[in-house]
Amino acid sequence: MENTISILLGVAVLLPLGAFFVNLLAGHALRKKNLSRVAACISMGAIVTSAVLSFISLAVWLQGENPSGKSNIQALAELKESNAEHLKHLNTGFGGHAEHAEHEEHGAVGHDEHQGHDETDHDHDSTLNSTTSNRNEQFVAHEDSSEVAPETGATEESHTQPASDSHHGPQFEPMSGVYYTLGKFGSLALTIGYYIDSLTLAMFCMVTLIASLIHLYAYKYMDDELPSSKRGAAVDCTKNRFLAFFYRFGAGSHDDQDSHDDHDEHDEHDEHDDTDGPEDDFMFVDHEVSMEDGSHCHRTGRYPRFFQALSLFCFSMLGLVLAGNVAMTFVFWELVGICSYFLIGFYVERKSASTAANKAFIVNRVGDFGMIIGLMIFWTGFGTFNYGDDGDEIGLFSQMEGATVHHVAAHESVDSASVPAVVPAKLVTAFYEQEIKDHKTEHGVSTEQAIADLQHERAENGESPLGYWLMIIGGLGIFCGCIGKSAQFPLHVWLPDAMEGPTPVSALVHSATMVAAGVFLVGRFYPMFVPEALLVIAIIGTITLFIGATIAITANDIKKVLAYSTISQLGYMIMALGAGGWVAGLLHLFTHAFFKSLLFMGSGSVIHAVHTNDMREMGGLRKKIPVTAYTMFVACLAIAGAGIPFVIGTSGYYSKDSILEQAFSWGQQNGFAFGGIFFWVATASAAITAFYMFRMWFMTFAGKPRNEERYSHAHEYPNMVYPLVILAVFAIAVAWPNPLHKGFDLSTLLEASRPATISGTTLNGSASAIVIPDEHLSHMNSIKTPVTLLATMTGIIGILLAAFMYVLPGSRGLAAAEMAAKFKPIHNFLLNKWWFDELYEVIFVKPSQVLGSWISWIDQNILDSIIHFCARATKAAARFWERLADQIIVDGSVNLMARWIYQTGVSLRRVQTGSLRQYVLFIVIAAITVFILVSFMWDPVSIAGH
Amino acid sequence: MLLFATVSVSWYLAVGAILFVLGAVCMATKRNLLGVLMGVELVLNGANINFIAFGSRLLRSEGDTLGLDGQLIALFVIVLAAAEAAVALAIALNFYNNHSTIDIDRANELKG
Repeated sequence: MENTISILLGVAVLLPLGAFFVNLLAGHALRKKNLSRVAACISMGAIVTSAVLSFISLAVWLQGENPSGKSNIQALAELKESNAEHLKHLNTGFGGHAEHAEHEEHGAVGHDEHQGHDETDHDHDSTLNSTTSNRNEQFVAHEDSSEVAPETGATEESHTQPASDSHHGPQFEPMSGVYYTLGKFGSLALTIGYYIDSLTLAMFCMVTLIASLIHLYAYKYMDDELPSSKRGAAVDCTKNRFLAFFYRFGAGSHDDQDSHDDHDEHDEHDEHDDTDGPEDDFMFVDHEVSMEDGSHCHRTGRYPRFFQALSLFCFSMLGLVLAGNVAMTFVFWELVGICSYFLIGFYVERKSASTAANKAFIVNRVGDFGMIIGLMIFWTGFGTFNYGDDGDEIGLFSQMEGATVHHVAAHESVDSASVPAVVPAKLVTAFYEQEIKDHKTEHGVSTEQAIADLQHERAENGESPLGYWLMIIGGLGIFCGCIGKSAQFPLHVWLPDAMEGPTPVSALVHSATMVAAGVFLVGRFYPMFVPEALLVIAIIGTITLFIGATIAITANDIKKVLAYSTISQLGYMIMALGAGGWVAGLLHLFTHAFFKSLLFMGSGSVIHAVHTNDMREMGGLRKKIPVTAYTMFVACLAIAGAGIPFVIGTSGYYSKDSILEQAFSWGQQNGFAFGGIFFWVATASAAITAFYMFRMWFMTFAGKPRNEERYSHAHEYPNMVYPLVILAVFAIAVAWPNPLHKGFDLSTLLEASRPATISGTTLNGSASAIVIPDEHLSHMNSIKTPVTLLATMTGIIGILLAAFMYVLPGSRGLAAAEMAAKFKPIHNFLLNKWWFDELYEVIFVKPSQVLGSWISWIDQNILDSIIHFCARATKAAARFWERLADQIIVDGSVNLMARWIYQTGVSLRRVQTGSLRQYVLFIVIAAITVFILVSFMWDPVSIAGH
Repeated sequence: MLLFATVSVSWYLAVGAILFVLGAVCMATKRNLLGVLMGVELVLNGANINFIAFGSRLLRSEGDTLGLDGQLIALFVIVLAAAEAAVALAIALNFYNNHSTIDIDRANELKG
């Protein structure tokens, strides 16, 4: 099974890469021959095949054997059943068990019994689970128990077992292995490996499915880019040289610039609908770019290039999901970044687009800087890059689990209840060599004992264990990368600007790839996060979700609304993950991917129909583009989390509610005074979410058309709405329980790969003992009922408010314009996006520019003058030498020789008189001279005699 | 001894020398191109006589050669003289065509 799946998924990753290379090599030729569509078909074929392979491998996995001996699909059903049982136990158990109250008083010591009790109750066998529960028991925060909010009656009891992960379903082993070893450097092996669990499989299916639909959508959407057959491009707006190079590479000859016709590319293309013939002969006219001469920018269409970049994007994302070690993750992480850079900057001639691409890339670098620090800490501490175990080498996750197990074992033998260390021994030895050595020489004990002693000593002094702060920093460093990629506060600023890319790209970036990568990485790295790191993650997520939601209220650009909504939803996911809701956060990642890609494609369809992003120019479009309107309505319902409470709902209903439940549970464990903030902010933002989504829908599709001209031209294309319909089905149903097979639904599938060591508490002192609650607790009736009702209510309030403000005519006092005027300062604040861009401009950009200008001044005035002086001195020396050696000595001698020879010639030419008779005379005289010489002065005999 | 015989080789040499000098004087004095050419012929023939004279049986040892060296060279010279005369006359004709004269004093265009 493992071999089959790893090969299938490996092929699924490589296919888009293959498509990328084919398009890279053949794209130009295809465009020349008017076969640009073929490029799209290659990419689409690759990603669709990947999707098929992904689903096949999911099927293989389901049929494959579980460690318990059954097939995985049966194990999933069991998992669901045991979850249900556990839930039942929780629901009833917390009602009347008196001994729990007792335990509350007992404090830390009492928990040992408690644990034993639990174990017999639930029939534990696995050490792992028992240890987990042991650890969780121990981490109860006792100080907070007195501050329980009075209105939650069940809190008192439930508080005693904040994290009793005594649930005991079937185990699911992740598959990890190596495709190819690139090289070994000492103990470090650099490999191309894989780490496959049900999360990986689900991500593969989701990413490939959405990417396929986006390819299908872009096939039509990018029609404007279909190139002319003969005319070359005239791209000379170079705002961003690197991007321009990427896009102009192989663009053909540049001429014919003045033959531009200002037709509207969209309308023009209607006649050529889906024909690949030579009549497709026109250039792309970018109306948003003005050339120096005032005309619009004309260039060759980049249809094949778009699909080329899209393929690379899919490859990077799939590779990231499959990656089996940190190094590989980082490589694909950066590949995702560069692909988004290429695609956001697709309209490179527009200044805004190239700036947005740069912004996205640079902001992500800020996050990646932190990520590298985190990776280095983990690598140094754990001595491996691998997530999973590979033969003898123990992977990161196992080491972390091992540390917990070891810790508990030590705790039982030494009876040091106050050692909450979860720092793996390897990390301690890596960073605290000297201390351990000193202790060893001093007491003459083994390394393990030395570490245990040291930790014990520190725990007794109330200090955090050795290396614990490194775990915090490492985890936060990794999370920094996620902040950048998943657009969390304070690095969220790139995402709205990324709307400059073509809409299919926005759909892909915002749902399945770029931003999903960050959340996925948090999910993947989850075992490595210590509770302090999780707390920070939850706080960041909460801030982000609130900021995103509030800004989305006032945005007028349809894509900007969706962008801020994405930020907000990502905040939900991150917050859920930080609050311990692993399944909740990742479930929301999946459901959000479906409805957000649907929303973006719908907005693309709208933009394609009316040629503007501004919602103030739209209105009433549902009559013109009904399929788009109603699929988007479905998506809005889904994102608002609409559903019939306790019966059924859209996918968002399940995921968002589970997030809110987790937040509620978190608040319950830690006291609502502080802990409630997460829940209340999230719930309020849920209302805001419903409000701004329906505001968008009403402004776009309901009411009367605000711009008759745009309205009358609007229409939709069949090719572009099919993906919408498919996605709408998913947006509704993706999180439903499976009626055909119990257990085979998305949340159970995700739960199968939930990290074992997941909840705990922060250390006393470092963050005043926060409890990260077990996720199962959030499904208790005492939590589920109020939260679900509250969430539904907030959703309805948001929708109704939007309806009153934007469609219903009777609501005078609530009309949007009046509200804006009434709350002008707030409105302005939100309209300007909390002044974040301006703030960063002042804090980061301006100082960098000032610093840059200083350095530039130093450069120009000091460094340059030194260099110029050197240059001048060298030049002078050279000139001197030139005079001396070259001109005088060499030239002089040569000229002298020449002059001498010349003068000889001149003097000799007088001999040539031109008079024949004179020559004869010379001959005669010469003959006589020779005769005389020979006769009188030459003695042949004497010469011969010698 | 033989050199001073009645008609000895030296007589031939004298005739050759006289012819040579006459030819040379003719070349040096005539302004007419044809005259100069005649002088050339005289010089050549003077030389020829010299060759033949030195090819005499009297001036060679027995049985060494066929004894026709001088005559052979003279024949070569005659042939070459004929060729030279042809070329020279062609030059003369062309010169006349261009300058309407054959006065060699007018042919000083090759002067340095």
